Amino acid sequence: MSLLGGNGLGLPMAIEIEVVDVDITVTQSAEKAILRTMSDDNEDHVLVISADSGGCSGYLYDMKIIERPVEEGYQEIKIRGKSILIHNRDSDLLNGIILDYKDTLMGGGFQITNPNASKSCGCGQSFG
Amino acid sequence: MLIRDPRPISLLTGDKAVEAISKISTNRIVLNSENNTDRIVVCDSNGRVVDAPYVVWDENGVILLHCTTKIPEYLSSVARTLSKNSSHVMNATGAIERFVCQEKYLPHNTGMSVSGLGISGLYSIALNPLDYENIHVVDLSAELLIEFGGLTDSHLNGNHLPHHIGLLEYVRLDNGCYPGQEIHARMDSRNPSSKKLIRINLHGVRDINSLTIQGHNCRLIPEWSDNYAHGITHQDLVDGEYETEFGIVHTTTVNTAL
Repeated sequence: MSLLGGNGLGLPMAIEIEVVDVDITVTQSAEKAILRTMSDDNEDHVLVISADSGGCSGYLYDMKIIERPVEEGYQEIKIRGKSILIHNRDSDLLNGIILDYKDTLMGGGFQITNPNASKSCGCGQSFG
Repeated sequence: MLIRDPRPISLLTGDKAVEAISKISTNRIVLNSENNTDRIVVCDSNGRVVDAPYVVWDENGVILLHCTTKIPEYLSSVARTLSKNSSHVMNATGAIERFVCQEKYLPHNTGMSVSGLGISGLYSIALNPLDYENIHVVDLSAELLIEFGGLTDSHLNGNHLPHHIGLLEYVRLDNGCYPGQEIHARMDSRNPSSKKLIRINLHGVRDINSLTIQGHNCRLIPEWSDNYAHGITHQDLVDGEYETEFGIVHTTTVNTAL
């Protein structure tokens, strides 16, 4: 059932997003972790880093290994044969990030340091 | 009587819409053709409420019935997220007819309704009612919202916790991180809220910021109708009539703010 009718919908909300060429730094420990994590994946698989609305500080990092998306609009960064993709829509938020990996029992895993963030939450998964 | 509600309505298209708004809300919503209405509460990073829209499932996406008089800013970050999946945030104001009415006056033919809201749960939201030509229709104002136990821009200006303005039932800390979650979690574990929202009939007294009722301080929200104001006071205050420094007042708890 659709409730929509009447005078019709307004245009999509206009959001101005600056698309920049993404440059990220991957530390040696993060590089090893990526290669280890993706060692069983075939060449079609890529690591996508994105920033979605949510989290304590407004935006939430997300990292997932998926089959290479068919949609256009991604920028690709090669790390020793493995591909990291960042969507153009996230380029202004994620440009300049440092991707690190901490091998600790508490709070370990991939860590992102973001020069674009004016604030971040305690667990490091959210920024604003 | 039907009251036409002019506040903005948004449509979030695509199958990621529910997930996108759950990530910024104090609660994770479940919405589909069977469970077709819910509510989210959106706070700032200090845990203060900026909007509390009802959410309605639609085959075109998810509809947000905002409580603010302007389209809220947080939608721009949701629009950014959705745009990566070729989904959008659309303005549906005008495409959907939205009304408020007392339960007993709810039109028989309505596309969707949400009931049990406001003072004593007497009020409902009706969407796209049919055949209401014979029902008297007026426009919703902030004054009427105060009378019904509804939220106005003065409740949603980033000064009030959900616990204090009739939205506590939507704060669920198992939703993970959301803006303001740390404040709410700390309150939950260390200092649970003991306040609630009440509607007060001040019998003509105006221009006061607070009063004492039965020994409890009551801070008033600066939005008044001719007869009523809203106040935040201790949860132990029982609904009734009380003598105060400003004369006799009558209080009614707002359990689920409209």
